[in-house]
Amino acid sequence: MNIYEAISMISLGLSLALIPLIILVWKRINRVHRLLGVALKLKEPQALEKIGRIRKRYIVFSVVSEGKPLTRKAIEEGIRRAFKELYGETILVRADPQIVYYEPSVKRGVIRVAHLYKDQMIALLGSIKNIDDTKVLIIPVKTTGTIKKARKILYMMRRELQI
Amino acid sequence: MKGEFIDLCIEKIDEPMAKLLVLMGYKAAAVLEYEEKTGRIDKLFIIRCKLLRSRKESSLRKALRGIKGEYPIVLVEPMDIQSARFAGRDSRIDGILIGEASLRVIDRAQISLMKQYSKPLILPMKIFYNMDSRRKAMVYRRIAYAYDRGVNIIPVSYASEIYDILIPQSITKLLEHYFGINNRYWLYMLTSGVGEILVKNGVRV
Repeated sequence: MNIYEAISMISLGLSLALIPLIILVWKRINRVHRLLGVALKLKEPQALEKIGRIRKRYIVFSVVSEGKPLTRKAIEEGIRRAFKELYGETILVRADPQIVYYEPSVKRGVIRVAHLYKDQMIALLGSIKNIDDTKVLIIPVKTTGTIKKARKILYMMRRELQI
Repeated sequence: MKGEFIDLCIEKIDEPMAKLLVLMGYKAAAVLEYEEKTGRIDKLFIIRCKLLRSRKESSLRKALRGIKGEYPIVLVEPMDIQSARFAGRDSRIDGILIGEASLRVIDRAQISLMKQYSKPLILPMKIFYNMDSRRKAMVYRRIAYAYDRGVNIIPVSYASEIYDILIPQSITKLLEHYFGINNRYWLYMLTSGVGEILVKNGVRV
């Protein structure tokens, strides 16, 4: 046995002896990683509730009013004020009602709201009696999922609804 | 749901209002200020209705004498206990109205009596909208108790102008939010619930 053979034998023996140690260390690291992951996973839902995708609903409405015609801005402000009064600011922030289209000549429009608050919005529209000291009646006609369909309904609506 | 709803108490009605009611799916309305016993305005069937506000049982008895010949629908807003109890028992009266003045009178005993005689509780929305939150809370407690006991609660508009009328889709949802009662119940009350009262009084719509 020459010197080279002796070195290679020693290194082989050492590497075989180190294998269980390497496995042990690898297991330890894995365990720590797993524990950390579990801890993170447990923390996540507590910190932030899953919101999910916020979908929109488009409510086609018709306005019956007396006197001067109401502007889009006035109607939107009136609706937001009434919404805040009835359901509070937190729900108003989540629902975020916006008038996306309003035609003053025919007194019809489309209001956009978060899908979770569609029912609240329909309930509210019927209860609004006054905007800017003008008596009004807002009639929710139809709810759709797209603005395209809402506009289609808006133009298909019968003229008789205008008083 | 077109042409199914009935409003049991409207103060005044004119042609544009009747037209809008028909468009919103109403088939009939009971009106306080109407000349004939029954009639029609633009496809809307009109029934004459009387609302009695009583402070004394004797005056209520007097007012009710021969009333059914002229008014098919009779509603009472009692302002004292005796007249409330009398109204709860009398078969000529079709419903007891819960307003500002009758809030204190409609108690648990009154609701139990109404349950016994199948008398509905009438909720005028025009008056309810104008109440402050404290009064609304009082109405809520009475409505919750009446619902729990199985007394019918009928929402009416009590409208005097076009802006006061009830939009069925909105009102059922609004009442669901206010009182926590399913909107199907309110839908039933606005259609079949009122229809039963009309049938009982021999009115064919």
